[in-house]
Amino acid sequence: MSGVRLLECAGLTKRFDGVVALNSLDFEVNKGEILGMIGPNGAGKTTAFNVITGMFPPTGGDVRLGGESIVGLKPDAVVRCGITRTFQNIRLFRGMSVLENVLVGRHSKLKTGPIGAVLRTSGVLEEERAAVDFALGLMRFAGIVPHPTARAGALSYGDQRRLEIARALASEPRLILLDEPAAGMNPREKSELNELILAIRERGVTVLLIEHDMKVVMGISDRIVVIDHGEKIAQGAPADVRRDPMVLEAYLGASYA
Amino acid sequence: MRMASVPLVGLWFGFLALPISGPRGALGIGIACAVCILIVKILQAALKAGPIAERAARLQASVTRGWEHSEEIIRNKKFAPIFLLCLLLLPWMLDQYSTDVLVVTGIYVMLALGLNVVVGFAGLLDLGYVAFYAVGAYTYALLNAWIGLSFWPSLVAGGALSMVFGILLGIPVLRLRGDYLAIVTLGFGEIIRLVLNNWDNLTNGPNGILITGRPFIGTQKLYQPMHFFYLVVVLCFITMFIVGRLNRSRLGRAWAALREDETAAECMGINITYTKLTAFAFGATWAGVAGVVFAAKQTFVSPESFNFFESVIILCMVVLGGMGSIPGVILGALVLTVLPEALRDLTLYRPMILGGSMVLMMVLRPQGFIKISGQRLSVDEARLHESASEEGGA
Repeated sequence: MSGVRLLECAGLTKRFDGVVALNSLDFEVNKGEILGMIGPNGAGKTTAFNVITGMFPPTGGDVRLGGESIVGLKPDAVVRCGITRTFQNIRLFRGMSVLENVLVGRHSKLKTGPIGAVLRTSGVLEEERAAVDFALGLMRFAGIVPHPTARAGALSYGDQRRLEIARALASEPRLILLDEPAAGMNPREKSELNELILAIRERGVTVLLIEHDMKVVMGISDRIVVIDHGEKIAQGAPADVRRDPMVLEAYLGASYA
Repeated sequence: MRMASVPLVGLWFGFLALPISGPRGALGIGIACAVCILIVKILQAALKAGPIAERAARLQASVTRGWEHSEEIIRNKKFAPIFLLCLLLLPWMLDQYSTDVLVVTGIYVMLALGLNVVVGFAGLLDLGYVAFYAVGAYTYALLNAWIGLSFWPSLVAGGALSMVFGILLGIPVLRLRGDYLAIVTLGFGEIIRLVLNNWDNLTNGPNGILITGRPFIGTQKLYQPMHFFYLVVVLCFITMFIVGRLNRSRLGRAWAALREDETAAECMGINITYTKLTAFAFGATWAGVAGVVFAAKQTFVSPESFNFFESVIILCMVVLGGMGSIPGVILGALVLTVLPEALRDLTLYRPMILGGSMVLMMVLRPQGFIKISGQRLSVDEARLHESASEEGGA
């Protein structure tokens, strides 16, 4: 599948003191696709996410979104450019309600400042009402059943994962980065997650997906990028990647390749 | 801990006390400790089983229920006019001294509400909050001494200057969290106090500054406790109103997200710098306003009013009342100013009772008097319940 480039990572390198987490990583995400990113533990997948979202700056290389470099931007600025993410170890605002979590995700689309908050002009109230409706719609979209005022920390594991996705979608991103969304889910929840990820693409959001569960990642990805030791070792359609000798070696050892 | 270890504990405490109290004292302390522990153990054993345990459980349940009931009454808007009426009539029923205590309480309510923005809403532990209180008080005192500025413009100037100081403190500590932040703010508080204490040319050092002149409303001079009572009540309501609305808005949600998980908040598009600085700025403003009122009431300011212990007390009000809860924080301020006054006859035991009740409170109800409730929303919550029930019906 070749389309319009949405995200391009070129020569992306990240060193932590002596450890090379990313070593001149090149890959691109096309507009409207679901790109799976796989690799053994410690391959640098989450580091790639952290660098793309601005959580820490790369040692070298470039990240371009729609042709413009986003390297050096702070995470909140990257969100405003149109990239959001979920976290491998769920990081919800546990003490806040489900609704508040989604509304925080919508933060960058809202404008109310301190003065507006105190005066509560009709414009501010209109914005809040629209934001609440949008958030409730997203909760329905993600299949979150509990009441909007329920405490996020009290949700079931699957609901917490879904809430993270809803929260990330609230900023209406162009690209969403999902970091192991299926981790810890049972088979039924996994198939629901598959449906959800496909539906996210239907909304016009491009998906970059880190996933260890091969059924999930092979089933829904248009293309797959395989990373090992911070380098790209293969990319292509799921069926081709599965047979790639480099991939087999990385996962199973040289004797199987 | 087994029964056999009781004498060992006594021995240990006796050993610890040896250098301080000598052999005889140490023996006494050791035996006392052992006996105390034995009594506690026996009581525990008695409580664990039998009718006493049942009764204790029932008592605890009814206390919790009663507490929740009174919370409901506090929240119920129907009772608000009655509360307000009682509040406004209070100075007519009390003597001057008690009214003055209430004025002090009101000043602390403002301080606690301000600190609650920083500590309760945004989760930034500030141990030097009293510095902003001092900035407000000295702004009034100095402007009054230099150019004869009267109370009302000083109120604005004090609040504004404290806000500036809040931002000035905020900038260097943007990257700090938790313990480190607490230590830097502690240092900041001490720096302000030491500057006020030692810059003789500007602040007259430890001798303080006398404020000549009194505030006026129209032609009415404010000098009696009753006058200040009404002034403080109005200012407290303004504080409550503004702080409450800030909390139930986009900014309040950003503060809460920052408190819950700074990294995740940043990855959700929240500008950490702006969000932290607004918390420091809005927190400091109320301390500045409270400082101006304090200076006007005392007609005198000196550095000793702004020591570290004040910061601690204000923090205790916030924590005891319930971090992030506006009614809770008000209750906390009320309890911690009125209780010491009520215990005035027991001067000797006052710190002990206060300390003991704090420990008890934190053990029994760590979330504070009143928990946070409601959604951080500017619009009515009823809409949520409607949409949820629609969904359920469909």
